[in-house]
Amino acid sequence: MMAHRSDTLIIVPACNEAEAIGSVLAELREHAPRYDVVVINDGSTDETAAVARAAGHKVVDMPFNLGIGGAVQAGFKYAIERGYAIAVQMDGDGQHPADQIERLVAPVRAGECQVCSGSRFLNGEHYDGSAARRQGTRLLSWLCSALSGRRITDATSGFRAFGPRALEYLASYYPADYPEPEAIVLLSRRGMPVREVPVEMRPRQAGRSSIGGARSVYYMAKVCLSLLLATLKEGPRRQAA
Amino acid sequence: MRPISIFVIVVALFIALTVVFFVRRWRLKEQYSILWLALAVGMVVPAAWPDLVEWIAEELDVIYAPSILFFLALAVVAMMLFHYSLEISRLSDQNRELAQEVGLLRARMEDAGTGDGTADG
Repeated sequence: MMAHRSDTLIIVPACNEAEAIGSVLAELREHAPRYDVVVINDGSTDETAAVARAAGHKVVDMPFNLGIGGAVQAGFKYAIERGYAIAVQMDGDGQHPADQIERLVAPVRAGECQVCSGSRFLNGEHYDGSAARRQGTRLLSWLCSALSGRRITDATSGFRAFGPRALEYLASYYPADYPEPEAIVLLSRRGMPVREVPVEMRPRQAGRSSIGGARSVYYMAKVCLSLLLATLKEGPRRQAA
Repeated sequence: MRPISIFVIVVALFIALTVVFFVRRWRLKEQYSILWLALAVGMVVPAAWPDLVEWIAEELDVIYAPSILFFLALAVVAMMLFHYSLEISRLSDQNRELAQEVGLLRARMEDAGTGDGTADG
C-alpha cells in the first residue's frame, strides 16, 4: 500500500522508554539500515513518541496503554496493511541488540521457519536476573517445550522474527498480556513451530521490567494456565462486528 | 399473607420500577433489563405461593425447604456473573481492536500529510 524501502519491518513497542528509545533507534540505523522501522507508542506519558519522531521514524500512537500484546499486535496489523513479508519484534528498552537482528531474519527469509525467536540460553549464555526469575523462565520454557513439541529454551523472549503466515495469524489472534510464551504454543499448533537461535541480550538500560516482585507468582500461574488453555483454542474467529 | 411475603413483593416491585426507570433514561439496555425483571418476578413467585416451595422440597426430598431458594438464587447470580464475564471479554476485545485501528488510521493520516494525526483534516 505505502511505498517503502524494504520487505522487512522492525516493530519496536515502547511504553515510557524516552530514555532508552533514542539509542535503540540509533543502533537500528547503524546495524539494520536496510529495514523499515515502526515504533508502537503504547500510551506513553513521556517523550517516547517525540524522541522517535525526531529521529525520523514512523510512530503509531495507541490512544491509551494496551499492554505489550496489544501494542505488538498493532505492529503486526501495520505490517500486513503495508505489505511487509517479514516483521521483527524488538523491545524499545535496549535489551535487544540491533546487530543480532540478522540472525533472526535469516532463517525466516530462507523459508526455513515462520517464527524465529532469539534465545539467551541456547548457547548456555548467562543472564543476570534474580534466581527466582531464572527459575520462572526455565519453568515456562519447559512447559512450552512440552506443549509445542519443540525444544524451547527462552519462552519469554520478545526478540523474534515472523514470516507472512505467522503475521497473518497473529494479527487476528495475539494474547493480550505476557503473550510470548503463549504465542509459541499457538503457532506450533497451527503448523508453525518456533525455531530458536542464540542471541546475546543486555540488561535493561532504563525503566523497569514489567515482571517482578510479588506479582510474579500470579503471573506464573496465569501464564501456565494460558499455555494449557492455548492447546485447546480454536483457530482465529472472524472479527466481532 | 405473611408480612415477609408482602415485604418481598414490595422489594420486587421496587426492583422492577428501578429497572424501568433506567431503561426510560436510556441508561440500561432492554437486553439487561429482561434479566432484572425476571429476577423480580422470580422473587414474587415463592413469596406469593410459599406452599410451592414446600411442595418442591417434598418432591425432591429436600429436608430444609428454604435451601432450595438459596440454591436457585445462587445459581441465577452465578449465571448472570458469567454472562457479564463474557460481555466484558467481548468488549475488551473490541476496545483493543478499536484502539489499534485508531492508531493505524492516525499513522496513515500522518503519512498522507494531513498533520500529526491530531488535526481534523
